[in-house]
Amino acid sequence: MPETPPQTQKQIDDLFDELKALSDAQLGYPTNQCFDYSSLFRFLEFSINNVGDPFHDSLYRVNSHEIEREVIATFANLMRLSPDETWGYVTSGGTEGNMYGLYMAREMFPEAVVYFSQDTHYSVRKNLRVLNYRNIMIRSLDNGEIDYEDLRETIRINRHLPVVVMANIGTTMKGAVDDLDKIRDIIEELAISSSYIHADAALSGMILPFVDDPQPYGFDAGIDSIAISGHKMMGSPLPSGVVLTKSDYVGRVARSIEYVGAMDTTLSGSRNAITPLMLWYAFKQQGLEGFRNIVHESLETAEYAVGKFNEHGIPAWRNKNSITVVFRRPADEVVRKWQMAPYENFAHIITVPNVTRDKIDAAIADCVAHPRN
Amino acid sequence: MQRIIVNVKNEVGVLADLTALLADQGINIVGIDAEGSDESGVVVISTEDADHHGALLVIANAGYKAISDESLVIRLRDEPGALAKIADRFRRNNINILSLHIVNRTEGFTTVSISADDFETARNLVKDQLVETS
Repeated sequence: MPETPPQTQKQIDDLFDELKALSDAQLGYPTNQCFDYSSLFRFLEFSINNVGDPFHDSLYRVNSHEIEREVIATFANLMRLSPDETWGYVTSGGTEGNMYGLYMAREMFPEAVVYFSQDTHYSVRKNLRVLNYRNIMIRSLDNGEIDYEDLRETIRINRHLPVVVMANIGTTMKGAVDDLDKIRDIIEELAISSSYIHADAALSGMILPFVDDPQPYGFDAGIDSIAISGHKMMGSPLPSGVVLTKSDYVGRVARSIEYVGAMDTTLSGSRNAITPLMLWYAFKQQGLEGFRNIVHESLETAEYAVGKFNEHGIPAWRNKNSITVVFRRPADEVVRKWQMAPYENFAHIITVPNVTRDKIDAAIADCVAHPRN
Repeated sequence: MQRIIVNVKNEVGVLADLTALLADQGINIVGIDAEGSDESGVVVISTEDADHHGALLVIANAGYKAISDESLVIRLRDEPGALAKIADRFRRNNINILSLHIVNRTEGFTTVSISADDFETARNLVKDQLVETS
Protein backbone atom coordinates (compact mmCIF):
# COMPACT_ATOMS: atom_id res chain seq x y z
CA MET A 1 0.00 0.00 0.00
CA PRO A 2 1.21 3.57 -0.64
CA GLU A 3 2.57 5.53 2.34
CA THR A 4 0.33 8.03 4.11
CA PRO A 5 0.99 11.54 2.73
CA PRO A 6 2.47 13.91 5.40
CA GLN A 7 -0.50 16.29 5.30
CA THR A 8 -2.92 13.41 5.81
CA GLN A 9 -0.80 12.08 8.67
CA LYS A 10 -0.93 15.52 10.30
CA GLN A 11 -4.72 15.62 9.99
CA ILE A 12 -4.92 12.18 11.60
CA ASP A 13 -2.61 13.23 14.45
CA ASP A 14 -4.49 16.48 15.03
CA LEU A 15 -7.85 14.72 15.14
CA PHE A 16 -6.49 12.12 17.55
CA ASP A 17 -5.17 14.80 19.92
CA GLU A 18 -8.43 16.74 19.76
CA LEU A 19 -10.55 13.65 20.50
CA LYS A 20 -8.27 12.64 23.36
CA ALA A 21 -8.68 16.04 25.02
CA LEU A 22 -12.45 16.06 24.49
CA SER A 23 -12.90 12.51 25.80
CA ASP A 24 -11.27 13.43 29.10
CA ALA A 25 -13.92 16.07 29.87
CA GLN A 26 -17.10 14.28 28.89
CA LEU A 27 -19.52 13.98 31.80
CA GLY A 28 -22.98 14.23 30.28
CA TYR A 29 -23.13 11.32 27.86
CA PRO A 30 -23.43 7.69 28.90
CA THR A 31 -20.35 6.23 27.27
CA ASN A 32 -18.12 4.14 29.48
CA GLN A 33 -14.64 4.85 28.18
CA CYS A 34 -12.83 2.33 30.39
CA PHE A 35 -12.14 -0.45 27.91
CA ASP A 36 -9.26 -2.21 26.22
CA TYR A 37 -9.99 -4.06 23.00
CA SER A 38 -6.39 -4.20 21.77
CA SER A 39 -6.59 -8.01 21.58
CA LEU A 40 -9.15 -7.59 18.80
CA PHE A 41 -7.28 -5.06 16.66
CA ARG A 42 -6.04 -7.77 14.29
CA PHE A 43 -9.60 -8.44 13.16
CA LEU A 44 -9.46 -5.14 11.30
CA GLU A 45 -7.40 -7.01 8.69
CA PHE A 46 -10.57 -8.67 7.39
CA SER A 47 -13.54 -7.50 5.42
CA ILE A 48 -15.72 -9.12 8.04
CA ASN A 49 -19.49 -8.71 7.72
CA ASN A 50 -22.41 -10.17 9.69
CA VAL A 51 -24.91 -9.76 6.87
CA GLY A 52 -28.22 -11.51 7.52
CA ASP A 53 -29.76 -13.35 10.43
CA PRO A 54 -27.17 -14.49 13.01
CA PHE A 55 -29.23 -17.63 13.64
CA HIS A 56 -29.08 -18.77 9.99
CA ASP A 57 -26.19 -19.73 7.73
CA SER A 58 -24.94 -17.16 5.26
CA LEU A 59 -22.94 -17.62 2.06
CA TYR A 60 -20.82 -14.70 3.27
CA ARG A 61 -18.79 -16.75 5.70
CA VAL A 62 -16.28 -14.12 6.84
CA ASN A 63 -18.50 -13.27 9.77
CA SER A 64 -18.75 -13.50 13.56
CA HIS A 65 -22.29 -14.94 13.72
CA GLU A 66 -21.31 -17.60 16.23
CA ILE A 67 -19.89 -14.99 18.58
CA GLU A 68 -22.97 -12.81 17.97
CA ARG A 69 -25.25 -15.67 19.03
CA GLU A 70 -23.31 -15.98 22.29
CA VAL A 71 -23.75 -12.26 22.90
CA ILE A 72 -27.49 -12.54 22.25
CA ALA A 73 -27.70 -15.49 24.63
CA THR A 74 -25.94 -13.55 27.39
CA PHE A 75 -28.22 -10.54 26.99
CA ALA A 76 -31.29 -12.81 26.82
CA ASN A 77 -30.30 -14.35 30.14
CA LEU A 78 -29.91 -10.88 31.66
CA MET A 79 -33.29 -9.83 30.24
CA ARG A 80 -34.95 -12.98 31.58
CA LEU A 81 -35.85 -14.48 28.23
CA SER A 82 -35.53 -18.26 27.94
CA PRO A 83 -33.01 -19.52 25.33
CA ASP A 84 -35.59 -21.42 23.27
CA GLU A 85 -37.73 -18.28 22.95
CA THR A 86 -34.89 -15.91 22.09
CA TRP A 87 -34.20 -14.10 18.87
CA GLY A 88 -32.13 -10.97 18.40
CA TYR A 89 -29.12 -9.41 16.79
CA VAL A 90 -26.38 -6.86 17.41
CA THR A 91 -27.56 -3.52 16.05
CA SER A 92 -25.84 -0.28 15.15
CA GLY A 93 -27.22 1.26 18.36
CA GLY A 94 -30.37 2.14 20.27
CA THR A 95 -32.19 3.82 17.38
CA GLU A 96 -32.02 0.68 15.23
CA GLY A 97 -33.06 -1.49 18.18
CA ASN A 98 -36.07 0.70 18.91
CA MET A 99 -36.93 0.84 15.22
CA TYR A 100 -36.86 -2.96 15.14
CA GLY A 101 -39.17 -3.28 18.14
CA LEU A 102 -41.65 -0.85 16.61
CA TYR A 103 -41.32 -2.55 13.21
CA MET A 104 -42.18 -5.88 14.81
CA ALA A 105 -45.17 -4.29 16.55
CA ARG A 106 -46.38 -2.76 13.30
CA GLU A 107 -46.12 -6.09 11.47
CA MET A 108 -48.22 -7.67 14.20
CA PHE A 109 -50.66 -4.79 14.78
CA PRO A 110 -50.65 -2.37 11.85
CA GLU A 111 -53.82 -0.66 13.03
CA ALA A 112 -52.48 0.01 16.55
CA VAL A 113 -51.71 3.31 18.24
CA VAL A 114 -48.25 3.70 19.78
CA TYR A 115 -48.13 5.44 23.16
CA PHE A 116 -44.91 6.91 24.48
CA SER A 117 -43.96 9.55 27.02
CA GLN A 118 -42.61 13.00 26.26
CA ASP A 119 -39.32 11.97 27.91
CA THR A 120 -38.79 9.27 25.28
CA HIS A 121 -35.63 9.60 23.16
CA TYR A 122 -36.09 11.95 20.21
CA SER A 123 -35.27 9.22 17.68
CA VAL A 124 -38.49 7.37 18.45
CA ARG A 125 -40.56 10.11 16.78
CA LYS A 126 -38.38 9.72 13.70
CA ASN A 127 -38.83 5.96 13.80
CA LEU A 128 -42.61 6.32 14.04
CA ARG A 129 -42.61 8.69 11.11
CA VAL A 130 -40.52 6.31 9.00
CA LEU A 131 -42.85 3.44 9.90
CA ASN A 132 -45.91 5.65 9.32
CA TYR A 133 -47.29 4.36 12.59
CA ARG A 134 -50.07 6.21 14.43
CA ASN A 135 -48.83 7.56 17.73
CA ILE A 136 -49.77 9.62 20.75
CA MET A 137 -47.30 11.20 23.14
CA ILE A 138 -48.26 11.00 26.80
CA ARG A 139 -47.06 13.61 29.25
CA SER A 140 -44.42 12.70 31.79
CA LEU A 141 -44.36 12.95 35.55
CA ASP A 142 -41.78 15.31 37.04
CA ASN A 143 -39.31 12.47 37.59
CA GLY A 144 -39.50 11.48 33.91
CA GLU A 145 -41.79 8.42 34.16
CA ILE A 146 -44.84 8.26 31.92
CA ASP A 147 -47.98 9.74 33.50
CA TYR A 148 -49.97 6.55 34.16
CA GLU A 149 -53.26 8.36 34.65
CA ASP A 150 -52.91 10.09 31.29
CA LEU A 151 -51.87 6.81 29.67
CA ARG A 152 -54.91 5.03 31.10
CA GLU A 153 -57.37 7.71 29.99
CA THR A 154 -55.89 8.02 26.51
CA ILE A 155 -55.87 4.26 25.94
CA ARG A 156 -59.44 4.07 27.27
CA ILE A 157 -60.60 6.41 24.51
CA ASN A 158 -58.94 4.31 21.83
CA ARG A 159 -59.55 0.96 23.46
CA HIS A 160 -61.08 -0.46 20.27
CA LEU A 161 -57.56 -0.35 18.78
CA PRO A 162 -54.51 -2.50 19.63
CA VAL A 163 -52.10 -0.85 22.04
CA VAL A 164 -48.35 -0.52 21.56
CA VAL A 165 -46.45 1.01 24.46
CA MET A 166 -42.93 2.24 23.98
CA ALA A 167 -41.70 2.04 27.56
CA ASN A 168 -38.54 3.68 28.86
CA ILE A 169 -36.29 1.59 31.03
CA GLY A 170 -34.19 4.61 31.92
CA THR A 171 -35.07 7.85 30.13
CA THR A 172 -32.35 9.76 28.31
CA MET A 173 -32.44 12.89 30.45
CA LYS A 174 -33.53 11.69 33.91
CA GLY A 175 -32.88 7.95 33.96
CA ALA A 176 -36.53 7.28 34.86
CA VAL A 177 -37.92 3.76 34.55
CA ASP A 178 -41.53 3.42 33.40
CA ASP A 179 -43.35 0.99 35.67
CA LEU A 180 -44.05 -2.05 33.49
CA ASP A 181 -46.35 -3.55 36.14
CA LYS A 182 -48.54 -0.45 36.08
CA ILE A 183 -48.55 -0.35 32.29
CA ARG A 184 -49.59 -4.00 32.11
CA ASP A 185 -52.27 -3.40 34.75
CA ILE A 186 -53.72 -0.56 32.65
CA ILE A 187 -53.82 -2.77 29.56
CA GLU A 188 -55.50 -5.58 31.51
CA GLU A 189 -57.91 -3.28 33.35
CA LEU A 190 -59.15 -1.89 30.02
CA ALA A 191 -59.46 -5.43 28.61
CA ILE A 192 -57.26 -4.65 25.63
CA SER A 193 -56.99 -7.88 23.69
CA SER A 194 -54.04 -6.98 21.45
CA SER A 195 -51.02 -5.24 22.86
CA TYR A 196 -47.27 -5.03 22.50
CA ILE A 197 -44.68 -3.49 24.82
CA HIS A 198 -41.28 -2.48 23.52
CA ALA A 199 -38.69 -1.36 26.06
CA ASP A 200 -35.94 1.15 25.40
CA ALA A 201 -33.27 0.10 27.90
CA ALA A 202 -30.34 1.83 26.21
CA LEU A 203 -28.35 2.51 29.38
CA SER A 204 -30.27 0.85 32.20
CA GLY A 205 -30.45 -2.49 30.39
CA MET A 206 -26.92 -3.04 31.67
CA ILE A 207 -27.66 -1.59 35.13
CA LEU A 208 -30.89 -3.13 36.40
CA PRO A 209 -29.81 -6.80 36.03
CA PHE A 210 -27.00 -6.08 38.50
CA VAL A 211 -28.77 -4.17 41.30
CA ASP A 212 -30.35 -5.69 44.41
CA ASP A 213 -33.81 -4.22 44.00
CA PRO A 214 -34.48 -3.55 40.31
CA GLN A 215 -37.67 -2.11 38.91
CA PRO A 216 -39.38 -4.57 36.52
CA TYR A 217 -37.42 -4.43 33.24
CA GLY A 218 -37.33 -7.76 31.42
CA PHE A 219 -39.43 -10.26 29.53
CA ASP A 220 -40.71 -11.62 32.83
CA ALA A 221 -42.37 -8.21 33.24
CA GLY A 222 -44.36 -8.67 30.04
CA ILE A 223 -42.29 -6.90 27.40
CA ASP A 224 -42.24 -8.18 23.82
CA SER A 225 -38.96 -6.67 22.70
CA ILE A 226 -36.11 -4.62 24.14
CA ALA A 227 -33.23 -2.51 22.86
CA ILE A 228 -29.99 -2.10 24.82
CA SER A 229 -26.93 -0.10 23.83
CA GLY A 230 -23.51 -1.74 23.72
CA HIS A 231 -21.34 1.37 23.77
CA LYS A 232 -22.97 2.90 26.86
CA MET A 233 -22.62 1.01 30.14
CA MET A 234 -20.46 -1.76 28.66
CA GLY A 235 -18.17 0.60 26.77
CA SER A 236 -16.97 0.28 23.20
CA PRO A 237 -15.20 2.56 20.73
CA LEU A 238 -17.79 1.67 18.10
CA PRO A 239 -21.50 2.38 18.65
CA SER A 240 -23.53 -0.78 18.96
CA GLY A 241 -26.55 -2.29 20.62
CA VAL A 242 -28.69 -5.35 20.91
CA VAL A 243 -32.32 -5.95 20.12
CA LEU A 244 -34.07 -8.96 21.61
CA THR A 245 -37.49 -10.31 20.89
CA LYS A 246 -39.34 -13.60 20.94
CA SER A 247 -38.38 -16.07 18.24
CA ASP A 248 -42.07 -16.72 17.44
CA TYR A 249 -42.48 -13.14 16.26
CA VAL A 250 -39.58 -13.05 13.83
CA GLY A 251 -41.25 -15.21 11.20
CA ARG A 252 -43.54 -12.26 10.49
CA VAL A 253 -40.71 -10.24 9.02
CA ALA A 254 -38.46 -12.98 7.67
CA ARG A 255 -37.90 -13.58 4.01
CA SER A 256 -35.08 -15.41 2.30
CA ILE A 257 -32.66 -13.58 0.02
CA GLU A 258 -30.81 -15.70 -2.48
CA TYR A 259 -27.96 -13.23 -3.13
CA VAL A 260 -26.20 -13.84 0.20
CA GLY A 261 -28.04 -17.00 1.14
CA ALA A 262 -29.31 -15.42 4.34
CA MET A 263 -32.60 -14.77 6.06
CA ASP A 264 -33.51 -11.10 5.74
CA THR A 265 -34.74 -10.60 9.30
CA THR A 266 -32.52 -7.67 10.29
CA LEU A 267 -33.07 -4.00 9.44
CA SER A 268 -29.54 -3.46 8.14
CA GLY A 269 -28.23 -5.78 5.42
CA SER A 270 -24.46 -5.58 5.85
CA ARG A 271 -23.83 -5.46 9.58
CA ASN A 272 -20.83 -4.73 11.76
CA ALA A 273 -19.06 -7.96 12.73
CA ILE A 274 -16.49 -6.30 15.00
CA THR A 275 -18.98 -4.90 17.53
CA PRO A 276 -20.37 -8.36 18.43
CA LEU A 277 -16.76 -9.40 19.06
CA MET A 278 -16.25 -6.42 21.34
CA LEU A 279 -19.40 -7.09 23.35
CA TRP A 280 -18.49 -10.76 23.62
CA TYR A 281 -14.96 -9.87 24.71
CA ALA A 282 -16.26 -7.42 27.32
CA PHE A 283 -18.48 -10.13 28.84
CA LYS A 284 -15.52 -12.57 28.85
CA GLN A 285 -13.09 -9.99 30.22
CA GLN A 286 -15.29 -8.59 33.00
CA GLY A 287 -17.63 -11.47 33.64
CA LEU A 288 -21.09 -10.75 35.02
CA GLU A 289 -19.56 -10.26 38.46
CA GLY A 290 -17.25 -7.63 37.01
CA PHE A 291 -20.23 -5.75 35.57
CA ARG A 292 -22.02 -6.03 38.90
CA ASN A 293 -19.04 -4.29 40.55
CA ILE A 294 -18.90 -1.62 37.83
CA VAL A 295 -22.62 -0.88 38.26
CA HIS A 296 -22.36 -0.67 42.05
CA GLU A 297 -19.36 1.67 41.87
CA SER A 298 -21.15 3.86 39.32
CA LEU A 299 -24.23 4.07 41.56
CA GLU A 300 -22.03 5.04 44.52
CA THR A 301 -20.39 7.74 42.42
CA ALA A 302 -23.84 9.02 41.41
CA GLU A 303 -24.84 9.25 45.07
CA TYR A 304 -21.58 11.06 45.81
CA ALA A 305 -22.33 13.58 43.03
CA VAL A 306 -25.89 14.21 44.29
CA GLY A 307 -24.53 14.85 47.79
CA LYS A 308 -21.76 17.17 46.59
CA PHE A 309 -24.06 19.22 44.33
CA ASN A 310 -26.55 19.72 47.16
CA GLU A 311 -23.73 20.48 49.61
CA HIS A 312 -22.71 23.33 47.31
CA GLY A 313 -26.22 24.73 47.08
CA ILE A 314 -27.05 23.31 43.65
CA PRO A 315 -30.25 21.22 43.88
CA ALA A 316 -29.57 17.75 42.45
CA TRP A 317 -31.33 14.40 42.44
CA ARG A 318 -31.45 11.04 40.69
CA ASN A 319 -34.02 8.32 40.15
CA LYS A 320 -33.81 4.95 41.90
CA ASN A 321 -31.09 2.71 40.41
CA SER A 322 -29.99 5.48 38.07
CA ILE A 323 -26.52 6.86 37.44
CA THR A 324 -27.98 9.97 35.78
CA VAL A 325 -27.58 12.93 38.13
CA VAL A 326 -29.94 15.82 37.35
CA PHE A 327 -29.16 19.33 38.61
CA ARG A 328 -29.85 23.00 37.99
CA ARG A 329 -28.36 24.03 34.67
CA PRO A 330 -25.12 26.04 34.97
CA ALA A 331 -23.77 28.66 32.54
CA ASP A 332 -23.36 27.58 28.93
CA GLU A 333 -19.55 27.65 29.10
CA VAL A 334 -19.64 25.06 31.91
CA VAL A 335 -22.08 22.89 29.95
CA ARG A 336 -19.74 23.05 26.97
CA LYS A 337 -16.51 22.52 28.92
CA TRP A 338 -17.72 19.36 30.63
CA GLN A 339 -20.01 18.23 27.79
CA MET A 340 -22.99 18.09 30.13
CA ALA A 341 -26.35 17.32 28.55
CA PRO A 342 -28.67 20.35 29.01
CA TYR A 343 -32.44 20.46 28.72
CA GLU A 344 -34.45 23.56 29.54
CA ASN A 345 -33.57 24.53 33.14
CA PHE A 346 -31.58 21.47 34.11
CA ALA A 347 -28.56 19.48 33.01
CA HIS A 348 -27.23 16.06 33.83
CA ILE A 349 -24.05 14.12 34.25
CA ILE A 350 -23.88 10.33 34.01
CA THR A 351 -21.47 8.57 36.33
CA VAL A 352 -20.07 5.89 34.04
CA PRO A 353 -16.72 4.53 35.30
CA ASN A 354 -14.53 7.19 33.63
CA VAL A 355 -16.48 9.95 35.43
CA THR A 356 -14.35 10.07 38.54
CA ARG A 357 -14.97 11.91 41.80
CA ASP A 358 -12.12 14.31 40.97
CA LYS A 359 -13.82 15.30 37.73
CA ILE A 360 -17.15 15.68 39.52
CA ASP A 361 -15.56 17.96 42.13
CA ALA A 362 -13.97 20.09 39.40
CA ALA A 363 -17.24 20.31 37.45
CA ILE A 364 -19.19 21.30 40.58
CA ALA A 365 -16.63 24.02 41.33
CA ASP A 366 -17.26 25.40 37.83
CA CYS A 367 -21.05 25.19 38.34
CA VAL A 368 -20.71 27.16 41.59
CA ALA A 369 -18.45 29.76 39.99
CA HIS A 370 -20.57 30.13 36.85
CA PRO A 371 -24.30 29.82 37.55
CA ARG A 372 -26.72 30.37 34.67
CA ASN A 373 -28.12 33.88 34.51
CA MET B 1 -48.98 29.72 1.23
CA GLN B 2 -47.80 27.51 4.08
CA ARG B 3 -47.14 28.28 7.71
CA ILE B 4 -44.46 27.40 10.22
CA ILE B 5 -45.24 27.54 13.90
CA VAL B 6 -42.23 28.31 16.08
CA ASN B 7 -42.18 27.79 19.82
CA VAL B 8 -39.99 30.50 21.36
CA LYS B 9 -38.93 32.06 24.65
CA ASN B 10 -40.70 35.36 25.15
CA GLU B 11 -37.68 37.62 25.02
CA VAL B 12 -36.48 40.67 23.14
CA GLY B 13 -34.96 39.99 19.73
CA VAL B 14 -36.62 36.67 18.89
CA LEU B 15 -38.69 38.06 16.01
CA ALA B 16 -35.68 39.94 14.66
CA ASP B 17 -33.56 36.80 14.89
CA LEU B 18 -36.11 34.67 13.03
CA THR B 19 -36.66 37.20 10.26
CA ALA B 20 -32.90 37.70 9.86
CA LEU B 21 -32.37 33.93 9.59
CA LEU B 22 -34.84 33.70 6.73
CA ALA B 23 -33.67 36.89 5.04
CA ASP B 24 -30.08 35.59 5.04
CA GLN B 25 -31.29 32.60 3.02
CA GLY B 26 -33.32 34.76 0.64
CA ILE B 27 -36.60 33.33 1.91
CA ASN B 28 -39.53 35.71 1.53
CA ILE B 29 -41.83 36.03 4.56
CA VAL B 30 -45.42 36.47 3.45
CA GLY B 31 -46.77 37.01 6.96
CA ILE B 32 -45.57 36.85 10.54
CA ASP B 33 -47.49 37.02 13.77
CA ALA B 34 -46.66 36.41 17.40
CA GLU B 35 -48.49 35.55 20.56
CA GLY B 36 -46.78 35.46 23.94
CA SER B 37 -47.34 34.91 27.62
CA ASP B 38 -44.91 35.51 30.51
CA GLU B 39 -42.11 33.16 29.50
CA SER B 40 -42.95 31.56 26.19
CA GLY B 41 -44.53 32.50 22.92
CA VAL B 42 -45.52 31.24 19.53
CA VAL B 43 -44.53 32.84 16.24
CA VAL B 44 -46.50 31.93 13.13
CA ILE B 45 -44.57 32.54 9.92
CA SER B 46 -46.19 32.26 6.49
CA THR B 47 -44.02 31.58 3.46
CA GLU B 48 -44.50 30.82 -0.20
CA ASP B 49 -45.07 27.07 -0.74
CA ALA B 50 -41.73 26.70 -2.53
CA ASP B 51 -39.85 28.14 0.45
CA HIS B 52 -41.65 26.14 3.12
CA HIS B 53 -39.22 23.27 3.67
CA GLY B 54 -36.14 25.49 3.34
CA ALA B 55 -37.53 27.87 5.95
CA LEU B 56 -38.40 25.01 8.29
CA LEU B 57 -34.85 23.69 8.01
CA VAL B 58 -33.21 27.07 8.61
CA ILE B 59 -35.31 27.73 11.71
CA ALA B 60 -34.83 24.24 13.14
CA ASN B 61 -31.07 24.35 12.47
CA ALA B 62 -30.89 27.58 14.46
CA GLY B 63 -32.16 25.66 17.48
CA TYR B 64 -35.81 26.69 17.48
CA LYS B 65 -38.67 24.23 17.90
CA ALA B 66 -40.47 24.62 14.58
CA ILE B 67 -43.56 22.75 13.41
CA SER B 68 -44.83 22.50 9.88
CA ASP B 69 -48.31 23.63 8.97
CA GLU B 70 -49.15 20.00 8.26
CA SER B 71 -49.78 19.86 12.00
CA LEU B 72 -52.37 21.63 14.10
CA VAL B 73 -50.97 23.30 17.19
CA ILE B 74 -53.22 23.67 20.21
CA ARG B 75 -52.80 24.93 23.75
CA LEU B 76 -54.33 23.06 26.66
CA ARG B 77 -54.29 23.34 30.42
CA ASP B 78 -51.45 21.14 31.73
CA GLU B 79 -53.55 18.75 33.77
CA PRO B 80 -54.16 15.00 33.79
CA GLY B 81 -56.69 13.93 31.19
CA ALA B 82 -56.43 17.05 29.02
CA LEU B 83 -54.85 15.14 26.14
CA ALA B 84 -57.32 12.30 26.56
CA LYS B 85 -60.23 14.74 26.17
CA ILE B 86 -58.82 15.96 22.87
CA ALA B 87 -58.30 12.37 21.70
CA ASP B 88 -61.90 11.64 22.65
CA ARG B 89 -63.15 14.59 20.63
CA PHE B 90 -61.40 13.15 17.57
CA ARG B 91 -62.68 9.62 18.16
CA ARG B 92 -66.29 10.75 18.54
CA ASN B 93 -66.01 12.46 15.18
CA ASN B 94 -64.31 9.49 13.50
CA ILE B 95 -61.11 11.40 12.84
CA ASN B 96 -57.92 9.35 13.12
CA ILE B 97 -55.06 10.98 14.98
CA LEU B 98 -51.89 10.15 13.07
CA SER B 99 -49.66 11.70 15.70
CA LEU B 100 -50.10 13.77 18.84
CA HIS B 101 -46.98 15.26 20.39
CA ILE B 102 -46.30 17.54 23.34
CA VAL B 103 -44.21 20.48 22.15
CA ASN B 104 -43.91 22.39 25.39
CA ARG B 105 -45.21 22.46 28.97
CA THR B 106 -44.92 25.77 30.74
CA GLU B 107 -46.85 28.06 33.08
CA GLY B 108 -49.64 25.53 33.54
CA PHE B 109 -50.26 25.04 29.83
CA THR B 110 -49.25 22.38 27.33
CA THR B 111 -48.64 23.13 23.67
CA VAL B 112 -49.50 20.12 21.52
CA SER B 113 -49.06 19.38 17.81
CA ILE B 114 -51.55 17.06 16.14
CA SER B 115 -51.71 15.59 12.67
CA ALA B 116 -54.87 13.83 11.57
CA ASP B 117 -56.22 12.07 8.51
CA ASP B 118 -58.79 14.80 7.84
CA PHE B 119 -57.05 18.09 8.39
CA GLU B 120 -59.96 20.48 7.86
CA THR B 121 -62.40 18.58 10.08
CA ALA B 122 -59.70 18.22 12.71
CA ARG B 123 -59.04 21.92 12.55
CA ASN B 124 -62.71 22.66 13.20
CA LEU B 125 -62.78 20.23 16.10
CA VAL B 126 -60.04 22.06 17.99
CA LYS B 127 -60.61 25.58 16.72
CA ASP B 128 -61.33 26.80 20.26
CA GLN B 129 -57.80 25.78 21.27
CA LEU B 130 -55.80 26.43 18.13
CA VAL B 131 -52.59 28.40 18.48
CA GLU B 132 -52.76 30.85 15.62
CA THR B 133 -53.25 34.51 15.32
CA SER B 134 -53.82 34.93 11.61
